[in-house]
Amino acid sequence: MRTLFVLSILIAVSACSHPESTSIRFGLANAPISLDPRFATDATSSRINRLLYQRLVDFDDRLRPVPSMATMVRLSDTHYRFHLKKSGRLFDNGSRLTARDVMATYQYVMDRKNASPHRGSLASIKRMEVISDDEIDFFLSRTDSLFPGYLTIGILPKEVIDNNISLDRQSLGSGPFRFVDWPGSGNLVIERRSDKQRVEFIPVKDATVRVLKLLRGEIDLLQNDLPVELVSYLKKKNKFRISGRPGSNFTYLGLNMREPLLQDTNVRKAIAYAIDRKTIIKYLLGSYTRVANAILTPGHWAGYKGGTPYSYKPGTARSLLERAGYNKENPLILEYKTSSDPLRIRIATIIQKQLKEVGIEVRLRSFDWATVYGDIKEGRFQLYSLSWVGIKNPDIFRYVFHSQSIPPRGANRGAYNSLVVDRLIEEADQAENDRQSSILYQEIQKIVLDELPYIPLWYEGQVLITAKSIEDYRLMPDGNYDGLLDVRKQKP
Amino acid sequence: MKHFGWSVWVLVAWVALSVFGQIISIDSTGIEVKHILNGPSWQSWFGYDDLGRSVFNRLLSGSYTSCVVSLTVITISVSVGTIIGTISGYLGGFVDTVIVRIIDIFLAFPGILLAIALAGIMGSGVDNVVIALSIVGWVGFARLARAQTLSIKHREHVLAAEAMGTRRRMIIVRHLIPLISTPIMVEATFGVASVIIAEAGLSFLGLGVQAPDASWGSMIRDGTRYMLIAPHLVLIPGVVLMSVVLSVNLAGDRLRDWMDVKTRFDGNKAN
Repeated sequence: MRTLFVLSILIAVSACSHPESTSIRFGLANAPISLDPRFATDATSSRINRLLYQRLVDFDDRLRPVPSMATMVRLSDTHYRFHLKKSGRLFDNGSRLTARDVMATYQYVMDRKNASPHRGSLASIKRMEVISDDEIDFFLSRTDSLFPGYLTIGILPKEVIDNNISLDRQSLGSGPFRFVDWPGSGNLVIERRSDKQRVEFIPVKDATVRVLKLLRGEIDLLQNDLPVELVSYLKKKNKFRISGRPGSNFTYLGLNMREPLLQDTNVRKAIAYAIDRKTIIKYLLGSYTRVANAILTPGHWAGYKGGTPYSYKPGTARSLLERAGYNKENPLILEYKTSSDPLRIRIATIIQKQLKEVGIEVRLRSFDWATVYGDIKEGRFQLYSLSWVGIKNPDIFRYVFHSQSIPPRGANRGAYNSLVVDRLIEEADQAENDRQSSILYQEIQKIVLDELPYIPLWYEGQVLITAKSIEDYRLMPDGNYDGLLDVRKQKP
Repeated sequence: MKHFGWSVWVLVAWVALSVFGQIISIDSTGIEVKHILNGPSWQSWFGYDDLGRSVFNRLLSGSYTSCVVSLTVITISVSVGTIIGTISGYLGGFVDTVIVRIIDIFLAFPGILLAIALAGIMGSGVDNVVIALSIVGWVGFARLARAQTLSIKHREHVLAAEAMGTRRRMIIVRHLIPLISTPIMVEATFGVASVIIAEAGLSFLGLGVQAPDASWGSMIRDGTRYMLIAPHLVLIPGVVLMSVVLSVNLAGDRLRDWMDVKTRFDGNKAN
């Protein structure tokens, strides 16, 4: 009995001995949902899948598509050939990645009956042809200047696809990391192929608890999803390395153009002038967050390069409202929907207060994520705020602003309808080169900024907090976890 | 008053501040971003919350919420429970069997869980919290009233009233309820404490008062996110909630002693 007791104590103590672990423990706000790149859409899963799988195309610093595991030759406007690179093509099951695996992966995603959420972006692919083990041709149904940028889906072994093996909670990729374990109620563990360094992803929903785990040494590294106050608190502790950089995830205020109240441009502009974005950034979001004017950052090859037309001008907002026929006796009353995330509610409450100061009464409605997202997709809103995460391709303009993209066909949730913007989007798709399409995208963003179907708010900054034992982790602009490729953990 | 000690002064302060806050219409929702999460200071004794709102003002506003909810729920529960329990105990027979079964069903389910389920079904909001807590709250009073009625319904004055042909309603109102009111009043004071806790619990779960209005429960819930950086957001409403609940319980205890003639008489003799 006594031996059993001592043994159980020893087991309990060893279960609590996280701090001496040699694996790098990465704290997450949300657990990944699926490790299958054909179906994963949430940010955490997509970021982890980048480490487990290879893809044909990736993006450079200015977010231009560049070769990843293949080089590309454009044989004609509708014909592209990809040559797979020679080395680093081994799947976890020991087989070699070939053009047949590429074709099987894309055919699966494009097949309507498989209902992959990525199918829409591949609509311009007419057919594929395997030339050899190392070469594959893509034929398009129409010219699409953005085409190579869509080929970012992780490549799976054909055998796995043919045998219909579920990859939701396991992976069989050829990426720089290999899957180790993901027990039912446990943490996902992956291992770097080059030096067998293990990384354990520890999901902890509550930010305070995540920070407490970091303080206790149960987590080595935290990236984003922390209130600015907690970051300042950790700075004062002086026990961690804290760094940051500007990000590219775009937060905006969406307006419903079907609503008679919001059809007047003066009203939309009044809202834009009434929001003091700099104050919100200063007190709630931290110094790495930047004021935004468009979905794409100014650093993007097609990003908006102009100035900030809507700075905080409550006087201008009031006169625009008066011009639109609103005053103290007849105030403008709007409903604003947001998720129940505490930070989103705080931001929405401050925006509500700022709009009230210029005479706009805002009724705030916060719902759980599924409800608010459902309402937004169905067009049941006047104002809402959301973010676009990980946007790289300018095809976002077609998806968000084209009159043919009203849900369920796209994400033009506010039913924005502009013949000029539609025409410019079509022209940009057919453009001969990046320079020409960049000019057209600039024009689209200028018009959108003037007509304001979206009120741009900010690009959320990236913040990284690591234990002193963690070295060489780099923050990426879109918040992905590619920093894990080079990260090292010093032995205690 | 002296007999009840300090607890009654806390309760008087609670009710007075709740009313006072409403009379001077304090601003519990005024946002000052530059004060976000500032701790207690000489300028603001209770500090500010995550939106720069005065914690003191929100405490007053929350105090009004808990005061109104607890008094309303207890009034409804006591009235409904006493009437049903007395009727059940006095009439007996089939009516009593049905009512006792219903009471048993309610008691078989944890009260707060039932309130959470009801508030969840009806949606959030103070009025729904009042309804949910009243639906759960009447049962205890009904059981107590029934038991008390059973013990006094064969007393001579009731039998005399029946022999004189007094209507049953009159017997219940004039000859039974006044005699069972003492234990019910004592029970009601304890009920106030549980309702304050239950309201705070439901608001903590997001089923009570809706933002931007304040309640002690929702203040504690919002504060837990900043426990590391601004512990005053949890500690201050927590201590206030604890003091009020403790005072209500102590006052209930003293009320019981005071209303118990035997204890009071013996106590006086001892003095």
